[in-house]
Amino acid sequence: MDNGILQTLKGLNRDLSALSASSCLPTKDELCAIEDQLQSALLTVRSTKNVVISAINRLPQDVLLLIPTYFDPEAPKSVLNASHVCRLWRSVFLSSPALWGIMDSTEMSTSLMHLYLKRSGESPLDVTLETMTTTECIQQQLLDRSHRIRSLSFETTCSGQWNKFLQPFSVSALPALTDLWILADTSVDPTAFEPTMFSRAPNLRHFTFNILGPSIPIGPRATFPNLTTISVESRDIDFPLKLLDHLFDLLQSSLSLTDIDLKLHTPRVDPIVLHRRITLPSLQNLSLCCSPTLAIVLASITLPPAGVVSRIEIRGGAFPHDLMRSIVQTLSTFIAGSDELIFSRSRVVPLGHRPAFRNWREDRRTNDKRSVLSHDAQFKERR
Amino acid sequence: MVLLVTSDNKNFVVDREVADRSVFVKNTLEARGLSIATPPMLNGGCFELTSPFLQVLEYCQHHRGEPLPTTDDANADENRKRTTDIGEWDRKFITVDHEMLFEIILAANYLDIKPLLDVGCKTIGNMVKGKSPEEVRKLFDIVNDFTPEEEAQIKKENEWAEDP
Repeated sequence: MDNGILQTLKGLNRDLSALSASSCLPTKDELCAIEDQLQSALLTVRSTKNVVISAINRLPQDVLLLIPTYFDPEAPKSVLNASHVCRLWRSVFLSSPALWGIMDSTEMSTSLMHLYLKRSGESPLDVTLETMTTTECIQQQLLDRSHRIRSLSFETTCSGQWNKFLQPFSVSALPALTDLWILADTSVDPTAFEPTMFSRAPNLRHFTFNILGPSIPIGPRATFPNLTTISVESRDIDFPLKLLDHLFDLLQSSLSLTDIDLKLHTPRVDPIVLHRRITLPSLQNLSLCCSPTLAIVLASITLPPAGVVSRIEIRGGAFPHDLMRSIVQTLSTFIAGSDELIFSRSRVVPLGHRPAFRNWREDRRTNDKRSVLSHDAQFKERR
Repeated sequence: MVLLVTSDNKNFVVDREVADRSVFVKNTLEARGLSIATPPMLNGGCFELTSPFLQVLEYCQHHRGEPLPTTDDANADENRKRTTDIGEWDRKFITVDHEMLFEIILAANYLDIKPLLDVGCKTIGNMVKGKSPEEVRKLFDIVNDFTPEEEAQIKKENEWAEDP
């Protein structure tokens, strides 16, 4: 035990002895002073005990500080809990603003988000906002710190909330934004979107968009030169060609794209009316669901040279006979040097399309067993 | 082959490929052009180095030849940390008592073996996951040493945390 605590205890002992020896009763102030000293000494003993007895508290502070950086990011309150364990943990964790940048409105109250914002200092922010649980006050505080937002996950089940919540973020300067998720269990009128949406997020690397209706909340003026992965799903069965054209603009402007995952259902068009070519020089993984969109995309893209694309996945149970034949023909030129070509069922394909899928399977079994192996729900071809 | 000498003068002869799992050892060897690297005593001699060093060697032997994480990619670093999964062999390897776990973490930190540091820190993260502060105290032999003022603030924070 250090000398400080020993001196305190000796001093206390002297005071207590003097009190006992005195013939008159101590005053209230004297008793309070001694009580305070005892309390303080007790806490010092406990803190010392924590270092002596607890092995984790003997770790150097820079190593102790590493531990919460590995906490599950989907449980943002873990850091708060950890800061309530003991004085050492609290002082170490509160002195690291980077630990307090993960916020989730579905898990945290407004007061708690406010506390995290305050403690996060100037660190990057990883924010999940759900429209029903996000207050205007928190929204405004985040907008005031939009330059620090590194990842933004936006979820809504109410179409009326789009303008109110997403729009202000989408027109803000978001220089640190690398990850953007927009998940909408609702349909949105595409005209509600500003042409400049997310045009001030030049460092976006990952974009995921999943919506019930046919929309893309990216303005035509937005370009993302650093975008590496994009995943777009519209659960509407009538995704307009005009929007697909807009999506192609986005793909074309992102020369570093390595992963593309599209689940879109455009109306069947024959012949294909979207005459354009897009070049994807860095593409490694391509995942498409089987629909007329697939034919359009395949007819429009120029893939990198053989050996760059490592994986192509075609999802969906609705393989019309002629379409499937053209897919295999088209891909046979693209997949030279690829690791794998996978055909798998998709959950988003309407049930009505299943008979066509079964017919296709029968057709493949009897007529062409060379390129596709059947394995219940999955068809995989390795080259 | 490389000769590694620990602070308590134990000698370990290992393949260069195994030794190079430690960025510290790798850099030291490259900088000095020697085959000997001597990790100094850790933490003022509070920790016996030999025992965790054997564990660390076992880890390096098992993972020899695997690609090392790049040091300049902050995103990859972030992604590694965000995954709380631990491989089966690593999970069995790190199933040790608390003292040994912390010593392995210390050694991994000092020797700069990021994947091992990941495994150790993720293990503690998983141990703490879903536990109340009181349960964490019990787990790690910690006593509550907060002042009444700090307790009041913590109580307030808990109320905010429990708000819908």
